[in-house]
Amino acid sequence: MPALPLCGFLFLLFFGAHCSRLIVATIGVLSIALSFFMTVGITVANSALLLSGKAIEEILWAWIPPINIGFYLDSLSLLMSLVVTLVSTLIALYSVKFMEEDTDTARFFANMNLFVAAMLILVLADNMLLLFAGFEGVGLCSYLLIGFWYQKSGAPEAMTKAFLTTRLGDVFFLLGIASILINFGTVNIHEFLTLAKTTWADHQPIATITALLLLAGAVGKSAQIPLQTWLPDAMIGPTPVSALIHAATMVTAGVYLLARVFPLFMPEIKIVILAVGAATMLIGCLSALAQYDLKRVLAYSTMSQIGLMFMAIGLGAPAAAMFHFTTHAFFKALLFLSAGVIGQALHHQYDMRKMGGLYKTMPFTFFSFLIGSLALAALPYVTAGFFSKELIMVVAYNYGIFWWAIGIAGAFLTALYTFRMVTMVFFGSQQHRISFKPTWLMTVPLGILVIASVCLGLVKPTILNLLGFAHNEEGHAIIIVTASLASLMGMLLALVLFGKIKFSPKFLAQGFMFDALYSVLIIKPYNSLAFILKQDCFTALYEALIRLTVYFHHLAGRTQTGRLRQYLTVVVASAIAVMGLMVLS
Amino acid sequence: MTTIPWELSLMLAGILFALGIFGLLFRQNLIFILLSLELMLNACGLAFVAIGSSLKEADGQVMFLLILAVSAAEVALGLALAIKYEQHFGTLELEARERG
Repeated sequence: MPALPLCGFLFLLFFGAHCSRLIVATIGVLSIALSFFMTVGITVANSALLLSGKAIEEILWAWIPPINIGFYLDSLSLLMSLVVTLVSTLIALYSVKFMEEDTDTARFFANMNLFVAAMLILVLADNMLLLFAGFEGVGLCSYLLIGFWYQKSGAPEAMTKAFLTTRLGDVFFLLGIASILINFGTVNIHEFLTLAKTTWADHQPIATITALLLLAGAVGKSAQIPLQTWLPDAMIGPTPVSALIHAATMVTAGVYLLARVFPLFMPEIKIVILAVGAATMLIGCLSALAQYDLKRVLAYSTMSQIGLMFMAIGLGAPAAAMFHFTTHAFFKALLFLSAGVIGQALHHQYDMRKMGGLYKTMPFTFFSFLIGSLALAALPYVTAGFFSKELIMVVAYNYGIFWWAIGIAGAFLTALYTFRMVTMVFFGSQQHRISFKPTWLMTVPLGILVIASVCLGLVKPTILNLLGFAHNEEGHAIIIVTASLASLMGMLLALVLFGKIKFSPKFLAQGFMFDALYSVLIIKPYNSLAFILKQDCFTALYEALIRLTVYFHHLAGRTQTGRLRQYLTVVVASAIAVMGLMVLS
Repeated sequence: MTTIPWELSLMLAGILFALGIFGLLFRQNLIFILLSLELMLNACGLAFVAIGSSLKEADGQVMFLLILAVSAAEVALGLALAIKYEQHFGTLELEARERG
C-alpha cells in the first residue's frame, strides 16, 4: 500500500518538471487513489479475519536484524489507513483545481505522495522504529508543504518552527523507543506489549518514564500543550495541505501512537494524558474564539479536538478516541476545503472581518461549510461529530463528574466559536463580489466529505465493534441531553451574539501568549547564552588558526609576481641545488 | 681523421647549456632569448649525440633529429610571437613591457 504513493513521489520528483500539468495531476491523484482502493480491497478480502480481532502480519525484509521492515494490519491500523487514504484521495483531487494557477504542481504532488506513503508506513509499521521512520517522514512532508509557498513572508519561519517543535517531541519519542528496546530487547509493538503486561505489572519508575517519553512524542506531533504553538502558524501553507496534514491525518498520528501503545499506560500516566488533553482542548477553544483568520480558527479547533481525543485516551477509551479521529478527519477536512474554496473566491483572503453575506453568492460552499460546522459543533443526531463526542462524554461521565464538566464546557465553547465563524463568514452584509465557481474537481470531494460527515454516525457500532470496544454504556439520557443542550446553546448564542459585537481579547487572540512565553523562557536565554559562548576559548583557537592561514596565504601570494625571469631564476637555482645535493650525496 | 673524446663533447654541451641559461636570464631582447633557447636545445642535442657515441649506439643521433624538429617548430612559433610582440609594443625589449 505505501509503495504506490512512494512510486508516485519518485516519479514526480525525477520527471515531474518535464511532464505536463495533466500528467502530474493524474499521477499525483491516481497513486493515492489506487492505494485507497487497495486498502478497501484488503479490508474486504480479510474482513472476517479482522472482525474477529486478529491481525495480519507481513514481514517484507530484514532491516537492522532483528528489526524487520514489516507491516502489521489490525483493526486499529486498518481504520486509520482507510481514513488516511480516503481523505488523501479526496484532498488530492481537490488540490488539482486548487493548485491550478500554481507553477510548481509537480513539487506539490510529489510532496503529497511522499506524505501519504510516510503516513501509511507510520500506520502500518509493526515495530516502533519503522513507526518512528514514518513519524519523521510525515514531519518532513509537513515541513516541506508548510513552506510550499516559500516566497510568502512568514512561511520559512512557520516551517522552521513547526519542524523544530515537533522535533523536540520526536527526540523524546526516540528516547522512549530506546528505553523499550533496552527493557524488552525488542521494538516489535505486538511483542513488547505482550511482555509489558507480564513484566511491568507493578509501578516501576522505568515504566512511567517510558510512557511519559512516548507521550511527549505524541504531544509534539499532535500539537498539544506545551508543544502546540506551531500548528496555527502552519496554516500559512496551501489550504489542501492544512486540510490533509494539519487537520485530518498527520496531527492525529500522536493519537494513533497513544492508542497503539495504550497498554503501556499506567493510571497515573492516563491522568497526565487526560490533563494535557483537557487543557489543550479548553485553550484551543478559547483561542479559536478570538481569531479573525478563518484558517487559524480551524487550526485552534483542530488542536482542541485532538485534545478531546487525548482526553478519551486518558479516560481509558482509545476506541472512542479513534472513532472521534475518524469523524474529525472527515468534517475537519470538509471545513478546510470549504475554507479553501472561500479563500480562492476571495483571492487568498482569509480574514473573516472582510467576509460576510457569502451564503447567497456561494450556496454550495455555504452548505458544505455549514455541514462541517454542524458536525464540529456536534448537532445532535444529525451529524457524525455528535456520535463521537457523545461517546467520549459518556466515558467521561463514567470516569468522573469533573472531566465530564470539562468536556461539556469544551462542547459549548466549540459550538460557540464554530458558529461565530459561520456567522462572520456567511451572514451579515456582503462585502465582495464573487465570480468564482468551484468546478466538479472541488465539489465532488466536498460532496463525499459532506456525506461522510453526516452518515458516519450510522456506522458507529461497526467501527466500535471493529476496534473491540465494549459498548454497553448507552442510555445515559441525561448525558446526551446535556451534551446536546451545550452544543445547541453554543450555536444559538453565537448566532445571536456575533452578528453584532466584535470580540477579540489580545490574550486569547495570541493563543494564551504561549509564543511570548517561550520567547522569554527559552529563546532569549538561549540567544544570550549563545552570545556569551561566541567568545569562548575554542573560538579564539579557531580564529587564530584562521589568521595563521591567512598570513601564510599572503606570504605565498607575494612570490607570485608575474615576472617570468624571476620564476626562471628560481627554477635554475633549485635545479642547481638539487644537482649539487645529488653529486654530494 | 682524429676522433674527439666524448667527454669533451659533453663538457662543450654543458658550457653551451649554461650559456643558454644565462642568456635567457639576462638578455632583454626577445630575439636573443629565442637564440638562447635554441642554444640550450642544441646543447641537449649535442649531449645526446656524445652519449650515444660513447655507448656506440645510434639512439642519440635519432634523439637529436627529434630535437631538431621540435626546435624548428618552436622557433617558428617564437618568431611569430616576436613579430606580434613588436607590432603590439613597438619594441622587442622585455622589461619595457613590464615597466609600462
